[in-house]
Amino acid sequence: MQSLSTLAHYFYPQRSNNYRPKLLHPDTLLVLSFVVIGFFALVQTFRFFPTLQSSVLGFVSSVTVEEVIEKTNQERLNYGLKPLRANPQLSAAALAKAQDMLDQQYWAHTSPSGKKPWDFIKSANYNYKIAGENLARDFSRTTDMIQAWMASPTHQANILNAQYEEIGIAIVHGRLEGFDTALVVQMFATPVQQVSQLGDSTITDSSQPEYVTAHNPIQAVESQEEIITQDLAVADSGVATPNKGETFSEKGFSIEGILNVPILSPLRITKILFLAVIMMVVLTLIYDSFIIGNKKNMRIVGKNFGHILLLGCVAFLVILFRGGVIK
Amino acid sequence: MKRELMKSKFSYLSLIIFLVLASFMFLVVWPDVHYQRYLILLISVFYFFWGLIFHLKTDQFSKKIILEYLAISILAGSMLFLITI
Repeated sequence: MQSLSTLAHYFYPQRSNNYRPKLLHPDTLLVLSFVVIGFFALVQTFRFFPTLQSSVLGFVSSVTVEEVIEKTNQERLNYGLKPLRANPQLSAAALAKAQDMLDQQYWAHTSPSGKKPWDFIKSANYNYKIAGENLARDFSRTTDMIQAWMASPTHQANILNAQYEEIGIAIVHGRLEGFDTALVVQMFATPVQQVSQLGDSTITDSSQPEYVTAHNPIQAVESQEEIITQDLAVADSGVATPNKGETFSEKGFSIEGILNVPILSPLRITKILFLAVIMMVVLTLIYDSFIIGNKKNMRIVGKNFGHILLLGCVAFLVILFRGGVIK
Repeated sequence: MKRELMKSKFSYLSLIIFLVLASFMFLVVWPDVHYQRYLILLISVFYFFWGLIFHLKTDQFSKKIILEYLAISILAGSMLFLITI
């Protein structure tokens, strides 16, 4: 009985709450804001409990190399550009870069020790005239990732760079800065001999390659299977890549497609909670409008319809918000 | 509620137009979370002042009204902001 009256106090306009559900009082709404912030902080603290996080929260990505190549080439075709060819050495370089980011826990084109993308490409024994790199993380879908790159002028410029002819891609799952994530490294280059075959009189020495800023596009691969199954390890480069079916579990991450543990991602669980809060408040507002409308009580409170519009907009944006970071 | 809507249709129309445009911009600027956060701030501040002006016009203004719009704006803004982190 006590709990029922408490429930009514919070959701039903009556004398005890001054004919306005307690949930809609400013102080309760502020408390709700703190609850939301507190919950978010709690989800963030999961990073300090790796075991708990891997069993409850995690990151699940459906991004695949095949799709990345296909969609990247599709973008290039839309602009009348030639599709890119996959190159195992570039893939090895991309994988080495991804591994280095996880090992050294950084998210940047240049490592804390000063290693640049070009160093990984050179370590893979790939002589290039021009090269570049695109990075992405936390994308659950390939389409979103490609859209994000295309929405960024610098990344789009890389994807649509007509000078690139080959591409290497690595997608790895691992823990970065405390959270499970999927890293995508895309390296692009044009080999020196490739340029000379084209009769380009402006070929530069491979020891002095051209760099196209820090971002480069992804290129299409004729056969993704080839990328995975080929022995991508490059002699003398220290770039070790797995054969199909192998994982980097000993290093704390696995190659794309190997790790299939689906759990709730921090973003998804946050969205669920926020939508639940919004729904609770909106339903209370609707109920309050209905009850007070029938009773015709006089009271000076905020406009329920305005609140509903605002919270509806927030719900819409929360639902449509897409995670993912590019660099 | 219908009578209330008709009485203040221009005020609600302005709010709807703003929210639609802001939502559209929020989605368009993705994946730039910095712009998205500016938009979130804009949405929260706009709604707070929209509420105050609305009540000032209708002579239903009080300290409690200010707090209510402030609380709703903070709740909405904090949820949107946190989702972008």
